[in-house]
Amino acid sequence: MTRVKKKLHILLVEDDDDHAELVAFNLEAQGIIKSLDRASDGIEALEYMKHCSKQQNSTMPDLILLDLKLPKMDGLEVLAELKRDEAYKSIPIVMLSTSDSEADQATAYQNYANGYMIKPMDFDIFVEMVRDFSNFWGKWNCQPKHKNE
Amino acid sequence: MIRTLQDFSIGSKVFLGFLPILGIASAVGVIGILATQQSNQNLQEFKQAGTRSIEVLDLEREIIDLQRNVQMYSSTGYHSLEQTADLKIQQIMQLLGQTTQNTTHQDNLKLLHKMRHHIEMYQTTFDAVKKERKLRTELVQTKITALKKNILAFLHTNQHRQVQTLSQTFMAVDAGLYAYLVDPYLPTLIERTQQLRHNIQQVKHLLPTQMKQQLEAYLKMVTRITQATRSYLYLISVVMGGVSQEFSYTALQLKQSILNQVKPLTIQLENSSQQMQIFVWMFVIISILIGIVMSWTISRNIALPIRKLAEVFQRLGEGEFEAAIPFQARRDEIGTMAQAANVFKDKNQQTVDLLANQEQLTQHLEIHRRDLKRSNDEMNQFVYTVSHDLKSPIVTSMGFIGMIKNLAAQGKVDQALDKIPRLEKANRRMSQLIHDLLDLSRVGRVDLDQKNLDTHKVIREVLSTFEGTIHQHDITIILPDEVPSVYANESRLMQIYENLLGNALKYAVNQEIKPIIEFGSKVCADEICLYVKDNGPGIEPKYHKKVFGLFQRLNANVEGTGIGLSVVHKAMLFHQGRVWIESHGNGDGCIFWLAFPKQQVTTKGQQV
Repeated sequence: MTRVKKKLHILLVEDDDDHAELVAFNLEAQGIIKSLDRASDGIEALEYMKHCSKQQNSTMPDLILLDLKLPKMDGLEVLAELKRDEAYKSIPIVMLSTSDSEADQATAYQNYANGYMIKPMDFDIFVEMVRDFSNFWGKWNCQPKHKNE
Repeated sequence: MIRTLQDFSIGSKVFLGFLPILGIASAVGVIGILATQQSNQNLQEFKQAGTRSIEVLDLEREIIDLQRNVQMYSSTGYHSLEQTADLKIQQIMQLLGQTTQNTTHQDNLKLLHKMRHHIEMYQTTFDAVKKERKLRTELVQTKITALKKNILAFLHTNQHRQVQTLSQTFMAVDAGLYAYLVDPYLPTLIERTQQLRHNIQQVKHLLPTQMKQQLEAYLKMVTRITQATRSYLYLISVVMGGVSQEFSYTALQLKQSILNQVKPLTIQLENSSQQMQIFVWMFVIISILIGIVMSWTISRNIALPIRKLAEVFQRLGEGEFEAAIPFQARRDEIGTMAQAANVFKDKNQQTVDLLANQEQLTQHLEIHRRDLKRSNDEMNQFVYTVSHDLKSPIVTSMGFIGMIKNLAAQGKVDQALDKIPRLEKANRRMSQLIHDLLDLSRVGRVDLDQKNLDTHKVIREVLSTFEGTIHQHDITIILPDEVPSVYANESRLMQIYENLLGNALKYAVNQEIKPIIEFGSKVCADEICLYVKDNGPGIEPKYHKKVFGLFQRLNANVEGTGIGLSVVHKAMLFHQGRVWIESHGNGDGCIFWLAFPKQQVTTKGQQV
């Protein structure tokens, strides 16, 4: 039995242009992208979410990939903010960071993160990580549809 | 120097208190001894007088006894009674002699002398009595018996009637004689003797001469017996009785005289004992009064201060170190005690100081602990941040190499080549990061020497290193002629200006308006304030603190490592100064303020 991967609307929150390109490149290769939007800092991410929830013609992202270390507003703060809000709390948020600090992981999960991935330094492993991630979220994960008000 | 009561030690005070009492007690003792001596003497005399009067009484008794003895002797004529009487006389003589020896008083001596005279007379008379009594006995027992025998022999042989009458008369006389010997006061003997004389005259012619002579001799002998009897009876009852009476009377006189002599002694004794009593009572009362007054004064002088001191001690014991200690000026034991109490006071003060000191130390310790914790936290944060930010360019590099490989494998060589500048950028960034981190680690660790620096010169040197950029972007630099010098490390100050100028250039050049960077200074209260001002986009107030944190960047895509402002912050802390931002962040530029402490300049400047 083979399952076809769903195409997802993903929001990538990443300040580093290079990293953003790296992630996009790999996700693109896995073929799960319906649309990939990017916010380069925390405040921008929150503004994007507000925008999505208010605009009739735009849809909420199916998944948020959130970097931990962001200018202006930290990734963990963004996470906490989104998970506090009834409108966004059911949207899966997967943390993507270079930090392997256990404290960061604990804080993320305390704030209801739906996953935590460490950016591998090795490119092949990076590819493998994105593939497995895409398989899980694109093939196996089931989640409710988000409607705009 | 006037010594008050407080200047004496307690021991001296107690001694002083007892001294008057001791004095009075000694006075009483001395007076008592003297009075007793006098009384003793009086008593001695009194006793002697008593002995004398007893002796006199003895004498009186003895003489009465003697007189009775003598009378018994007169009636019985027993030799034993005679001897007893003689012995008694001897005893009386002896007693008298004894009394005379012990007597000094002239009147008494006279009286004793008189008594002696009496007793001598008594003895002489008694000797006469003895002679007469012996004579009578001799006559009655031997001579008259012989005569009587001869006469009766003759008279019994003669039967003449007249001779028989004579014989009867003779027998009556003889009976009368014996009766007389029993009771000399009977008158019958004399009558009968006269009758016998008469009868003899009548029968004279009938009697032979020898018989007549013998009868004459008998009558003569009877007469002699009566004479002797009368003689000793007279001597005993009249002479000796009188003498003994006289003796007794003199003894009485003597007794009276002795008593008279004793009388003033008795009065004197009574008086002195009364005086003594009054004296003793008086001294006892005075002693009690002095004792009470002295003890009250001394106890007031000792007990009161001790009580007050005890209160103070208690307060000191409770840790009160401000309690004033009284009586320290006193020069007695209480003064010493009060001075010693100062030690407690000092100790209390020391304890309080120590506690305060400890409190201060604890505070210092707490500050250091917090500093240490903060430093430790900073260290942890630093390690965390460094590891994160150092990994980041590696992720990029590796990622892009992978992408290039992929693109190349797919034959997309152009796309692959396009990625190379990005790869280069990541590696440059890596090398910049390492360089900046080394800079940061140097702050406060190397180049510790500080001196007064010509700030103007430092700024000019920094500007010269950025000369190319300044020219390229046609940036206006405003630098006043006078910038105050600061006391700092030259390399650090240079680094600070490099970072601030670099920062200003980075943000100012990307704008449409012509960039202006201004250096300047302002006089503050106790600090030297320098500033670097630009007309770039500025920084929002909420990020004013954050930008000084390590790797904190407001825009990730603007060139930089996020270390520069951390270096500035750390360097300012090292110089005991501070750095802060003045900006609204809405495009009206930004001012970075640097404040160096003033006193540092003067004090350390003098040292250089």
